[in-house]
Amino acid sequence: MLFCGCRKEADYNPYIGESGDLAYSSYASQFDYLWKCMSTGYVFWDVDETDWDAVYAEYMPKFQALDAKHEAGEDVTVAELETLYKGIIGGLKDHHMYFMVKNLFPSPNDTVSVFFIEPGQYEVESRDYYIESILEEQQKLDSFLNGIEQHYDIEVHETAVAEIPVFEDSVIYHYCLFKLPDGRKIPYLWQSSAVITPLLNEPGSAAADLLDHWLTAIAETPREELAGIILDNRANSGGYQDDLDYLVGSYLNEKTEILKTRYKEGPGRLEHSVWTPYYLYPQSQYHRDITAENIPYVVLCDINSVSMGEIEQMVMKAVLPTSYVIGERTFGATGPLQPADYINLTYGGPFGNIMTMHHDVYTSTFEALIGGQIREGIGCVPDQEVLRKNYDGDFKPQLEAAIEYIKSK
Amino acid sequence: MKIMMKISYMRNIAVILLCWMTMGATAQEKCRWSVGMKAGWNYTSIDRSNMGRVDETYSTLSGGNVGIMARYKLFDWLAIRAEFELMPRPYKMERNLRYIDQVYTKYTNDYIMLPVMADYSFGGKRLRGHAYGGVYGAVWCRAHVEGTTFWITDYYVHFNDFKEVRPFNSEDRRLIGGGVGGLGVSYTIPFVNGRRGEATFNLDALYYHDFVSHHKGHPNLNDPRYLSTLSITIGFAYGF
Repeated sequence: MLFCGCRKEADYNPYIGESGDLAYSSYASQFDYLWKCMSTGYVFWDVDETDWDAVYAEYMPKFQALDAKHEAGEDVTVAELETLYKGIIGGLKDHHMYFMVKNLFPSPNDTVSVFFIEPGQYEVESRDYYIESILEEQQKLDSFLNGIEQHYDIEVHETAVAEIPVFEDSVIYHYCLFKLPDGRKIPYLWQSSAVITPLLNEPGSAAADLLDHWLTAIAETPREELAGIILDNRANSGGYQDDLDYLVGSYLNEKTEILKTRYKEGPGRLEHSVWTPYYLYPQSQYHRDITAENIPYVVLCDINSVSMGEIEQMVMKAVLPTSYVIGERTFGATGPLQPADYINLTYGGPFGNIMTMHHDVYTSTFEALIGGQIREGIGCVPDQEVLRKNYDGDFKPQLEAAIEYIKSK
Repeated sequence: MKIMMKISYMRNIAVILLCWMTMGATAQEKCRWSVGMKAGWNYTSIDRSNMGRVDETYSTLSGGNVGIMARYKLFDWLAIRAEFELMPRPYKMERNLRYIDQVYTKYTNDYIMLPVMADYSFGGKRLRGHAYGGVYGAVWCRAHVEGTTFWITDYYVHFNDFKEVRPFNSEDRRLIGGGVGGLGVSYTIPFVNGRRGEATFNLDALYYHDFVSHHKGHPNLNDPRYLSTLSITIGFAYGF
């Protein structure tokens, strides 16, 4: 009893999973809400250099000034809010992140009341080898591959488009079986997203057949006829973690730790769970011991290889000795994430609802340690750098480098 | 002028203390000092907000503690007691969310506790009751975690058991303090053959209540966490 008064009370902290009611009623309280959710739920505070306390001190008076402006009857525009939030969020490390915020009191002068901030995209666009957006690149690469027979001796060329409900855009696949002058073959696959698992879980579609043909060609082509493998992850927007079972697990002989992850366990910025190993098990359906048979497994990647589109080759580099990565340093979005519905798993990761809460924040649920490093914002560094920028954006030099590497083995 | 008054005030306190100690010596011609050791069991709970993490619950865990103690008797009924104690102060966090309700973490926090207490005693010459009250400083010297964690992919939830040292970080406050109070009984056996000295056996229950949070929090997001520990020990002291 005597001691009870000697302890301080905790400050109020909102429940990050709130989605039903608007939890704030002013620009300042909206900022306070988002600042606190980020303070407790953002998984990268250990590697992010942003001084989050200094952000509060600097920006809270600015939002209070906006409230005063609104109360005085003046409009607060989306541009004003966007400028402030860009200063707050624009330099964060999380390359998966987007921050969508709606103006609480829309100005009649604005045609839209929502704005969108993507810190990772800003960083990537500042790199000197950035050429174009992922959507532009996907269209161009699809066109290049549609005409691939003009450049190479191709035994098989299949292409398929798949619709995956959670993806806004269609997923494009190209499977080619290159024939080298000596008669050996190279099974090649380009995937614009990483969705092998859901497609193969429901066989029968053109895309599932195409994937089966590529994986079967790798698994069953006699060694003397198989020169190597090419997985093209350029302009791959990411997707399912379970694809690693097919792309890596098929070539393992035993249970293998491929990476470690951890999540927020506690509201402190530096409070994480322990690093938890993620194991892959040998996948029997398309299994081949490419290490024992010394089959080169080349992955092409570039600046628009995002999320699973880059984690795949990071994992291959860590656990498959015959893998070799050619292209450009990738996007750097390495933190796995879950949908906002799963926020209670870790109280970190995507949160909010743009309709009811006036915010929608997409951020990583997990921090990943791949090959012993946290590579968020850094991405996968290729074994052999070939920059499209140096060839007027041509896709062929990177592919050529892959074929030459395989020939040399 | 103020400084002079302060010096004079402190001098008066020193004189009173000296007289008090001399009186004690007159009243108790025998053992004034005793030193000893103690060991026992403790139960620790944490007082903290879950800060919106709605399915996490915290519970009490127990651990063993050992220490050494020194006691200086001012009067028959009052002594000053100081201790140096190695005390694990563990607690447990459990998840209640469906699908991951096997996830938990046991936090074991090894502290060096340095309590200084007034020891008010009453009763006979041999069997005496004690009431303690004082303060302590503590050093959080090691953190250890054990439990089950999870990893989720698009189709599966995987679980993993762990047991490892938890590195300290800049949010941890490793020097803390608090208040301590408790009750005890002692039984004293004077040495025979005219030798000066005595042996005392103690059974104590002490309650340690942190006043200082071991988590620093942030200027606009204060998140204090306090441990409370009930320690039950038996001890032996040599008086001289």
